[in-house]
Amino acid sequence: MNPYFFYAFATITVLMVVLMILQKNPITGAMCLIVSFFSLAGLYVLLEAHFIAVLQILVYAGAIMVLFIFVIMFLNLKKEDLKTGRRPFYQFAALIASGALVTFLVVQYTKIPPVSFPESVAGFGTVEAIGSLMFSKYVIAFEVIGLLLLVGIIGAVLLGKKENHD
Amino acid sequence: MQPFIDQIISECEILQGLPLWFSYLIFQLIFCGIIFVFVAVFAMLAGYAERRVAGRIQSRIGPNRVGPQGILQSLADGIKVFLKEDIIPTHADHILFRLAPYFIFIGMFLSFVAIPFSSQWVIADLDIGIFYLLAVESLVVIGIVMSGWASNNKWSLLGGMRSAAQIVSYEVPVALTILLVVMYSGTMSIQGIIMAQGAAPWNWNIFQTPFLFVAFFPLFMGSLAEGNRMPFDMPEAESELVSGYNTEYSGFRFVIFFFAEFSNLYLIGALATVLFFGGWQAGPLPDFVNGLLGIETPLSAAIVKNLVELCVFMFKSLCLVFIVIQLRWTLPRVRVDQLMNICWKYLVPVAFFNLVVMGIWMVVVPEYVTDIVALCMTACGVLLLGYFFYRVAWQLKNTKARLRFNPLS
Amino acid sequence: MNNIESLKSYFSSEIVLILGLVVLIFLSLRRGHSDHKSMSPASSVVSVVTLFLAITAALSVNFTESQPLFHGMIALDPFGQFFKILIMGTTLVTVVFCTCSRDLENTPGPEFMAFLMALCLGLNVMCVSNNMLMMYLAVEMASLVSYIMAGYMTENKRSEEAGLKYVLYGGLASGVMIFGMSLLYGLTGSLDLVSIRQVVINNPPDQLILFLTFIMILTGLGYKMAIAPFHMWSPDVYEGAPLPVTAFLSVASKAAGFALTLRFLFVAFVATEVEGTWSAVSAIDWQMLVAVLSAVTMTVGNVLALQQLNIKRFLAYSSIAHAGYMLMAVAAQSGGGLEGVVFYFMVYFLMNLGAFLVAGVILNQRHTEDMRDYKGLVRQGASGLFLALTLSVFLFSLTGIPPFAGFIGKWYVFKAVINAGLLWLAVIGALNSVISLYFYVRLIKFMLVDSAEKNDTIERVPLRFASLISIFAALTLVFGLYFAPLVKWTQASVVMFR
Repeated sequence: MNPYFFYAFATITVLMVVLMILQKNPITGAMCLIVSFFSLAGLYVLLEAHFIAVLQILVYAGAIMVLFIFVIMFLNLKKEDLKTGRRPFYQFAALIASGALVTFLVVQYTKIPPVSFPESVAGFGTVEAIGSLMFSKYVIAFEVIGLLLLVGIIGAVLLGKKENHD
Repeated sequence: MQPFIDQIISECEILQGLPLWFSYLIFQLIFCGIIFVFVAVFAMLAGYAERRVAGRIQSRIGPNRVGPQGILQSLADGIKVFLKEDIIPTHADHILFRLAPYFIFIGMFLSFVAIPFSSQWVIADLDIGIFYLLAVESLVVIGIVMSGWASNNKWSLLGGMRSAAQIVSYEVPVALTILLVVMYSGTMSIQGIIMAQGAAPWNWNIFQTPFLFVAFFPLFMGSLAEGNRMPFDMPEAESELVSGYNTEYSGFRFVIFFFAEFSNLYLIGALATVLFFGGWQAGPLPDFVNGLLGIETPLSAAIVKNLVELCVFMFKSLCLVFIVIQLRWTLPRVRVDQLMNICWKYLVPVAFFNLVVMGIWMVVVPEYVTDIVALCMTACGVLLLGYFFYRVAWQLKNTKARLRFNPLS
Repeated sequence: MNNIESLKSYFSSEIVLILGLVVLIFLSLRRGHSDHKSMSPASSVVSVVTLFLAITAALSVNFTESQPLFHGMIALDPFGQFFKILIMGTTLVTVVFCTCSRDLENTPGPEFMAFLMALCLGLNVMCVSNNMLMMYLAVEMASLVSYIMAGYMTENKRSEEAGLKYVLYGGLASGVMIFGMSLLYGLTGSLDLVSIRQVVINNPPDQLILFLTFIMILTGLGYKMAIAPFHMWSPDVYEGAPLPVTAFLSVASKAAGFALTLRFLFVAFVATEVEGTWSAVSAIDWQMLVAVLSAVTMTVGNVLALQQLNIKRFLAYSSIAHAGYMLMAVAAQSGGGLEGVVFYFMVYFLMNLGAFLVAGVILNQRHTEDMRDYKGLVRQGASGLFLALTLSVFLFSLTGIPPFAGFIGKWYVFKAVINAGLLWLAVIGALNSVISLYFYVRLIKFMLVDSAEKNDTIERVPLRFASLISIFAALTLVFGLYFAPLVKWTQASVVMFR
């Protein structure tokens, strides 16, 4: 893996996410998030997980973010709605906390002992490899996700649908 | 692509002096350029063809002034649009407004990267090519929604929202259908899917099983909807929304939208060809042509072979493009609720049903039965086609229409 | 153990639950007038049968060793079995509770019971997951269904608010948790709790960063257990959610959270030295952390409960305080402490559900959640007398007054804490019990001593409720005097940790 590419993608990802938080306008924020998803997909490509990379784009940048934007556009926020009351104390506290966390992580980064991860075998990250793992070792997780999504869909429909008073 | 470039390098002495990565880079860039030119030319010609077809269908002539039979009409239009003032509305979101067309164009262009025009002429034969095609499509959606929102115009916004709802919905049946084909071919690589088919119609995916035949329709309708084509062109419905999401665009930015729309037209045809009609598979045709021309050097033979395959692919996909153009001028636009009903109440269940039954079929039914079924289905297909032409002839006879076989008359 | 074997022999109760869930979803597709309400007789019957079968299936498995199932994704052991049965029992009571609850009377959607089954399943998986991936998925499954059920009364603003707040807090907590998990995976190279423990013991990573990841994961778990400082959601959610759902969340959800936390702490982060006692791994001394958390939790719960006059909020804060007591036993890091937690949960199940049932009856008849409307309950007919007395039993037990089961639970907990040498924690716990005496007894005074403002009698309590309440009250009394079988069961439940 080329470290320069890694640093480039990582910087874009983090930068865009930070920008997303700082944006006043939700649509612009969503766009920043999309860009960060794309660079995240780039990181996956560097890790030779091409399938996951494409999934990242297809599911997050494609479907989910489009839905996000769709909802934001439906809400049709006015400029006045976007102004929130300034809370200097919370802002200050959040700044301190996140600053401390970042400093801490950066300092600790150098100290992490090398962990031996299993070498990536031939065919790593391909559809076949992921599929066979998903249906052997992690099959129970896969099934639980299936149930989770089923229940989630039913719940969303149920809570979201308008009652027809007849 | 790589074997082809290798072959060129081995034939060409100048290139052997250069480092390998450099010549690869050069050739990739050249092919990208070719694709770019192809997209541009196709957009021009398709625009012209569309208007001529529309003319014929509506019993008028269509553009016939600029150049012979008006063939340069699109060029003239292009020049006109280029000369227009490039306007960005004052209250538009400037950054997003400028960014949106590029998103759309990049999304379109990235799709062409994975489209195989022949056995060797494909810029990148990805392991997960078909999946990749679905993914980059999402860039286009984002671009459309972005342009709709950034214009700060209610027509645009409505168009953008309709487009988002429509594309997100129709992606489901399209993906499910593609999954069916992937399941049948056992690969996600586009070349692999084509390779699993054959040149003869009874080897095409569409005639393999009844389910694949049925599956073609969700795919075709879904890609029409994703490409905002009639009868699903709600996002830019001229009679309701002026021009939908691109209402506020002018000048070069509008040209990009125009390009994207017509390259998408080609993608619809190409995708269906790849998945269901055997792609570039030409069977013994390349060898026959080579024999006819008496070509012996391997490089020329390879070029001819690829050219023949390219022609086959183009023929198939352009036939489909022609059908799409005809559909635009024959069918009325559907309403929004009908659009959603078609997707969620018909296409998605059909696609799901197909997927499940097809899986069972693949496990249960022995191979020789599949072969027989394929032959029968091909026969049915031919009969259907024959019946279609019979009906056309019958209509022509009864209406006593005067036939004009020259398309340009 | 591979997938097929795991499915065949040890996963039967979950399979039963899934089948029940599917049947319930299909039941909800029928067309008919009564089927558009959330409570239809058919769905209640199916749920009761399902739960009954599932409990039987869970009880029928006999083992003492911990069995890894599905390639180690899930651990099957008496500890998990105990919590599974507790959760399914709570679900059973909740189903009965739901069948005549005013909150759920006019809500649409016959899928309600299916959600309940799904929630039960999610919590079950939480109790047995032995792998961080499984942990996260189980927490998500349980949370997602909880959000839906908390916001189930779509026409009620409070319920909507409850659902939304739950989603916001839950999303943040699980986000922090999965960040922690990813860091932990990066540090140890494994998702499996047992292998994580080996790495942490033999090849400890940097202490500070391990501690950070530990706290991050504990945030997610703490949110599920509703311990301070991650308790903020619970009073609002408990108040807004339909009463049966509140009752369910306060017992089952908390139980699953504790089961998961105990497994996480005692499998991944302990070094067993002597049989029956543990010490935290050298890299993280989490004993003090948990002790402080428990002290804060019970103090916050009890102090904030002092001024609550809404019965739901009151019980919410009280359940936070109880989470604090149980956490105290976790901090003891001993077999006695584990037994204390398990025992306390059994008792807590009885007394808390009992209190909620009584509150439910009064809510159904009086349409009030205000505790001042409980005044003079004892003199409002025979049913009033019954309700007042049983609620007093539950409240006394919640306080931890001798002849009731709550006392035995507290006694076990305090014993473990003192044995572990955490005297200061025991003192804080005792002080908190004294505080709690005030507000529990205040409600009892309302019911037994004060006179009613209006003089109307309570109508007859529905038989289902009356029998459940009397069984719970009787058991609360009986287990306060004769608790040997419970102790035996708790000892059997934690045997695999030794």
